[in-house]
Amino acid sequence: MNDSRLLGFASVTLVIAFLLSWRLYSIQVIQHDELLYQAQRRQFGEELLPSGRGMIYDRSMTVLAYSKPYTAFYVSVKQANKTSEKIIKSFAKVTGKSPEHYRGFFSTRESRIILEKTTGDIALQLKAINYDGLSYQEEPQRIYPYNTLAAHILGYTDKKSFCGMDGIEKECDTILKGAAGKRTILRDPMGNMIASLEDEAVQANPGDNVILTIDKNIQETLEEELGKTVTEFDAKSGCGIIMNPQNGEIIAIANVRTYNPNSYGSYPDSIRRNLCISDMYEPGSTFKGITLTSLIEKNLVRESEVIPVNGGVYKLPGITITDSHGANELSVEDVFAHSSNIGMAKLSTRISKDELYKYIRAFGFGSQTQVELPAEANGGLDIPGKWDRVQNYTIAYGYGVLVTPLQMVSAYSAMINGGTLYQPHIIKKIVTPSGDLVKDNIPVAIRRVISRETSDRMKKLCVRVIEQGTGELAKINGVEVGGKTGTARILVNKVYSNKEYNASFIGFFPASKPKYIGIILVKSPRSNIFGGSVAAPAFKRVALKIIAGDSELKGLLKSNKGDSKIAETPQVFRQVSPVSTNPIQPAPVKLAANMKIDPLTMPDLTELSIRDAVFIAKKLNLQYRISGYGKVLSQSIDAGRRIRKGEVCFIKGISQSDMGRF
Amino acid sequence: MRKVSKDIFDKFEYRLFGIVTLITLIGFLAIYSATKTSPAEQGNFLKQIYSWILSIILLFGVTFIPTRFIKSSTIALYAGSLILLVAVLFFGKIVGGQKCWIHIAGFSFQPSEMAKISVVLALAQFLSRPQTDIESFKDISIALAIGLLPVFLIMMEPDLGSSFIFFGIILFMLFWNGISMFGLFFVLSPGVTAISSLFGTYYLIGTLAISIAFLALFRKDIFLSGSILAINVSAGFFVDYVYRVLSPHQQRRIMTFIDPTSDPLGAGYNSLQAKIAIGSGGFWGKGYLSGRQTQLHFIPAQWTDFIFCTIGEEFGLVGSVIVLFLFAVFFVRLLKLAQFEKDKYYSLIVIGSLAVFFVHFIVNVGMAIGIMPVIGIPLPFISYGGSALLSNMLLLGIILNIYRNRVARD
Repeated sequence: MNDSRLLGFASVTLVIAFLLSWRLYSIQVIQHDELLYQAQRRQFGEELLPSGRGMIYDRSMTVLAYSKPYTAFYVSVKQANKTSEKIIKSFAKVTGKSPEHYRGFFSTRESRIILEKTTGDIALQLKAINYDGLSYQEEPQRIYPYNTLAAHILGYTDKKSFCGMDGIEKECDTILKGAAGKRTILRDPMGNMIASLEDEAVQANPGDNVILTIDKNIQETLEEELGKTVTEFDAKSGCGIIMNPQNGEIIAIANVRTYNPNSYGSYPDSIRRNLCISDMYEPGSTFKGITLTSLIEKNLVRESEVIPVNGGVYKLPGITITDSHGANELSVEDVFAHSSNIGMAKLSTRISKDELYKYIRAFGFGSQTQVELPAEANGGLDIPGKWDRVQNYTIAYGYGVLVTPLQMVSAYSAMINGGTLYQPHIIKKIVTPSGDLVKDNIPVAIRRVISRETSDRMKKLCVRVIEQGTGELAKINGVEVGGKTGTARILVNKVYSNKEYNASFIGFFPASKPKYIGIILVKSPRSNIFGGSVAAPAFKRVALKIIAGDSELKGLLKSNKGDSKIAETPQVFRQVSPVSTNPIQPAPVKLAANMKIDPLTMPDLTELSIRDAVFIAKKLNLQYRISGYGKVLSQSIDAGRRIRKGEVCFIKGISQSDMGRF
Repeated sequence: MRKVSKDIFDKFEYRLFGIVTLITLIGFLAIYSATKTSPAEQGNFLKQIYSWILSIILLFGVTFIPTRFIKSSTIALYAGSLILLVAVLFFGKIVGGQKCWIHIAGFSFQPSEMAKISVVLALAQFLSRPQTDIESFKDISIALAIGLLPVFLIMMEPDLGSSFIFFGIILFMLFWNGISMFGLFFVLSPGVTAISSLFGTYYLIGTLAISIAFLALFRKDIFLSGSILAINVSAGFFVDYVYRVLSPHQQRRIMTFIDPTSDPLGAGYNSLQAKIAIGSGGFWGKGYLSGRQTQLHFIPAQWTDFIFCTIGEEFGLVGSVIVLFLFAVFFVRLLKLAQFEKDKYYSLIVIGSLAVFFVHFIVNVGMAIGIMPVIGIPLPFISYGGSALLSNMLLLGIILNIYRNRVARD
């Protein structure tokens, strides 16, 4: 028609064709690498796979701490302004609670409210509810089924971060926590997972289980008797340890007052302190055992030797030492049995300060025992060069030195077990979730402190304390008990108080080959102050129950006046019922490995975990797309149907569309 | 006078039909891939095939009706389109904030599609009248009115994208009709000034300065030049005034249209995702059904407006260039037809149709590769959409009809 106009069109077409081609070349070849990187950065994501926290058991595999997979359901009030009624009704329908119950939550000014926190089937059904503004979050909960029992040993876990904050939970946090896995996921623009690259996934490693040396029953008894004692004598607080002197295994550690780790937030920090390892005190008379052992080991004293004790008052430059009884002279064994400060002070002059210091250190004082619990105190022991005139005498009977109850009981263990100091320990074993042994804690003998002969002589001296001395109230018919009482004034404002005392008792039984050793420390009792009358009876009551529950010792027990009832009651231990009757029974789980798979027929993937469903889809060579998380709720190809070639199966998990990530 | 063979191929422009069929098949592949992983859109592939079958029937119907029917139905078609464009403003279904769709007896279609065809036919008819003088002020105004009346109605939907097509149609047909450069300037300059006024005062002043320069170059009499300048100035201020009167959300819509980066989460986001998709395809592409950007739905409306991304990502530079090449062949073929057609009326129809296809193509591909603003218009014969496919095939049918009857008119 018009050649010049045709030329015009042709040149425009040519220019545009060149422009488009150049642009395509530019982005598809020149900028390809950059844009491919941009694409992958958007398409791939990394997802952490949380690991389950390990459980804590006592020595006979009673569960003391476990985790439950709770799910918390939240509502963003603003987003849900249109859907709130629907949410309320759906929730009420599933949980059976009244709609008013849920409606109540909405009458708040908070922007995000928690509607429900639950587990199991109900949680699963609630997850299927999908309305604007509703979201949920997995919030596993740490459960201590026996509540306050062994609280100071177990510690607690932070409700939000799920990290161990105290006790074994803190000490073994990395062991219990396990290692979170990760996997690369393909995601859509909303960040939802569409498929995961399972081949490159690093599986989550669930935390290992910790088995303690604790005996739940003895722990319970100790807590109970300690509680009674603190109440009876109107004391400020009390603590106690039961240990196996032959290997350093801690069988029980108790503190009064105690707390419930399930609701740790409602207790002050001071109550969560484990006095047995964190609290230093001046031990008083119980420390005389250490001094006397050193003297015997150095062969500087004989038990039958008679020492003048000056009628109970001994004046020295700078200090006047007094006894609570006014004898003029005592044999060495009675100096110990009747706990004469004057006798001990005099005897201590026979050993050099350096030598005494060496023994005190050898028994483990002045340094941590390295028990597997956090916040252990060192104790307080100066080097001899710094001892003042007074300390030269007082350390011999337990003043001017600071110890922890655990140091005390472990030193006494070495004293009476043949002379070996064991490292106190509370973890017996660490096992994988399937029960395979990871670590078996064999007792660690730190050093030989004294000879077997010295140890045997000390044992006899301790038995004499119970038989004829200050510890008479701890005597048990049939089972020989050894021990030492302690009644120590407490420093109040740098002056030793007349009212505040630490009443303590260390005892062990059976004396021939001690199986149990224990310390009871009662702080500031009001109605009575003496270790022999406050702490010793408590020890005896605990010991009786231990013996009753110990198949080896049970037979030895003879009738104890007034104690017979306890000893003969077959069901000795009060049963503390756990929070849940069946705490560790998991719900029956459908496993991919058990499924029969026919390569042509669509299997039923519902109820499987998404991970397993992906595994099966891969096995079937089936193309799949995933939405959601957790368990499979539905699949686009019906189960039992033949799979057409190249068909894509949409696997729908629990929706997570509004978990508040975007 | 050419020799007429009895061969059926002389009656049927099989090359044009073949190229379009090839492009349509590529479209099917792309739609299948783009909807494969979207449960809600999976049916689109089959729907597109049904629409195609229907449109083939329509195409053959139109190809083999007597050509005079086309001419005689033009006025009715044009009037009908205007009525429907008014009707859609009252009864239209709102999709994405726009009233573009009308529903009749279970079918839904866009009146703007029908308007494109009728404007092509009506303009061809007006311009090919022997008494029409395209250089006269009156006739040029009538031509503009024929073309811009539907635009005015479509703007009210508001569907800015479709309006673009009509400017293309008017421009192509006037140009082909042999309008002088001065006439072209007279037609174009008010529009350019109006758009530039949206960019700001400096742009407006700049555009007006260029207009003055052009007027000086054309050396027309001072009165005419002054009138044209006055029209330009008032067009600029009028658009600026209208813009100010619009509600903020309408203003935003216009600003996004002019500058996609002003809305990085909306149109800008789409533009970026599209570019990433095509770019990540590389030279050979990721392979059919393996384009992650497509399969993970990073691109919105990837089976309609952004279908070119699927091609670019999965078939790479090779596939994209093949598609470009096919379209180029198609356009050249249409140009040739228009050139050979001796009857001005039919030649203008072919050019008008070329304008429809060409503007769709250039805007759609341009937006996918990031050199055009994001204007929601589909890629002819490839994008999913029955309404567009039907109207495109109808236009093709008219062209084939013209080809079939060229001998009869000779």
